[in-house]
Amino acid sequence: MFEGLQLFGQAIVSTFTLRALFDALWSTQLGIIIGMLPGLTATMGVALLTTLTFHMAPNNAILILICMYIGAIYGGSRSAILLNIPGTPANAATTVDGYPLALQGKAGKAIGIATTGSFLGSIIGMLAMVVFTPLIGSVALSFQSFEFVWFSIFGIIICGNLTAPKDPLKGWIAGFLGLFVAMIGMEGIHAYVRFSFGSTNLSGGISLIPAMVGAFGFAEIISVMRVERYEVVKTKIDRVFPKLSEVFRYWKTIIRSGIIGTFIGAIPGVGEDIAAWVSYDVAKRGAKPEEREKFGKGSIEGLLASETGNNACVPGAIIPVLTLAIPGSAPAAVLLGAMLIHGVRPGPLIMIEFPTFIYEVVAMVLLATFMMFILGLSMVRPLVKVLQVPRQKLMPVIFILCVVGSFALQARLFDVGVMMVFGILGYTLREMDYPMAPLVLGIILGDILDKNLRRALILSDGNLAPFFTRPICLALFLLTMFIVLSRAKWFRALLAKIFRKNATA
Amino acid sequence: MTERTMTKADLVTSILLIVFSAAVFLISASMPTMAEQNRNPLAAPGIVPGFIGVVLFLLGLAMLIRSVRRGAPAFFAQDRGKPSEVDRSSWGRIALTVGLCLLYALLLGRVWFPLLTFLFVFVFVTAFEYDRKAPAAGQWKVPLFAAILAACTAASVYLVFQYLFLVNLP
Repeated sequence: MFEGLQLFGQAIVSTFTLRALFDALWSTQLGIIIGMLPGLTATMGVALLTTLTFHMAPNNAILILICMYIGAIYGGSRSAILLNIPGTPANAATTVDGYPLALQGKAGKAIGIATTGSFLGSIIGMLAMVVFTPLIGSVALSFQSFEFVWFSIFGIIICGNLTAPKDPLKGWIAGFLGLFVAMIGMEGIHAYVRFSFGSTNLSGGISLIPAMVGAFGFAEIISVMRVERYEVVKTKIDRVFPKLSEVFRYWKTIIRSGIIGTFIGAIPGVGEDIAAWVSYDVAKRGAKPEEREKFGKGSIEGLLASETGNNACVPGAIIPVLTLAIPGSAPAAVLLGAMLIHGVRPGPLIMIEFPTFIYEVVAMVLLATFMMFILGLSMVRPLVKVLQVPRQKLMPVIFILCVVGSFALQARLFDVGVMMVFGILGYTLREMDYPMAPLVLGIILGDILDKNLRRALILSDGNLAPFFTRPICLALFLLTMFIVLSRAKWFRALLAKIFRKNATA
Repeated sequence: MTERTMTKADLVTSILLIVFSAAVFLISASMPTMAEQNRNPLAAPGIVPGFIGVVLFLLGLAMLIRSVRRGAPAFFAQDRGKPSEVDRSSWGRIALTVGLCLLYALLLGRVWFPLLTFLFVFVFVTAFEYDRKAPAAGQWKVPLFAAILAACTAASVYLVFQYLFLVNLP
């Protein structure tokens, strides 16, 4: 415990250098701008910056990516409040109460509340990171291949279930397609080349970053260019700095949303958008009757819940990245990819191989959070002008960056092709309501599933029993089955019957 | 997308998925087990992709059954010959965006990078901003600003990547 505090203190000292402060300043501001612009998401921002920073030293690059991530998730609240369009999917719940506040002429107040909520959410998430990352890390050390097999399957199933709540079947399909994508190329045990059909490029496999730049960048460009145009609300921005009493009246909501956000962040592949909605929903149910009336018409509590929830999700999503190498959200997936590029190997061994790294990441999150808070409360009026840049001028430039970024990592034109294919495929799938997060999660988990399933089969000599008898395996198996079956009508009918019997008995 | 078109799309995608997953399974099954190299056949390269193929097949089958139950074949029969309901102008914009981007990606490496980038940004901005119905005289600013933006983008991307990030652009 005290050793952890000491390591954290050392990490703060080593992280907060002048260079780091400068990097954090520009990257958080860039993140806020990218988050604000509808069509540019946090995932895209982190993916593009990964390609631009891979020449830097690992710690500088990862700090910049974390700042971009936190800045973008927060920045999306601006356009949610001013345009009624969430700047990133994470801010969809913010529009519900943020935009009505702007219409009432309280845009400045709404921005101030959103900033404070995001700040507090991020701090709560960070505290959870300090406490739980080493804990989960030490538990994860005892995990064997059997557990990792179930983790990858469970991850795909729960991610598909939560990111496509209306039609989880499509979420699962997207997830398993992602697992398949990971199978392309040379496998890690016998170096046998799968599904390459003689192509040298394919035998190297599909790289995660170009695929994500395509699925989140190019696909987004197509869908932004599809619609005509959007209007900025003409509203004067008054006092931005919120009154402390106004915020702390809702301390219960803040803490609750922070915990919900962090927890949802830690679930594989389930990201900020879901965190914000769940936290908004819980806040609405828990609100006093006179406050509940205001939800949807400009409630401060609703706005706080949504913004606290989505920013608390960010550190939450980084916890499984560090301890299990399983990303908690789509931007965290890119972050994981970036760590691997920079030679840091997250996973159960991180506490042994890179013991200070966890605390350095926490210190980076802390720095990014403070930067976001300061930048969020300053320069509000000039930044609104960014929203007036016409998208037909912005999108071609972004596309050039997508192309150059995909190319820059390995200097292969093939990666540009991967980006284009995933963009068009991603757009088509999205039009048919397939979520993108499970697909991305699948690309990462594919390798984990492949190695561990085969390793586990060798360990048990082909015996399937350990997959169901080891305690964590059994729990994950039952959870997975429950999630899948609870979508079937007959199973729900059966459950209802059992519960009714119990109630009458 | 309306629920009707979605059900129709689901039928088509489920059939594609079933064919695809069957192919994945067959290819995986034909992969060597490496047993002749004295390796453990339990770690054969085809095991995991085969498993993924089976799961995708089952998911595709579930979607096929569901879309048939929701009446997709009947929708196809009823809608035959009817004009499609898609909005023309948004399809035009999608086609223009994808077309220009594809052209750029295809020409990459064949045309000098700054020139290609300049042309792409210039054509993209002009194509979306120029209003063919409005008189040409009032719109001379559109290509001018497009050219300025294109020149700035091409120059800055080229210089930053070539000299700051030391990436040899195609």
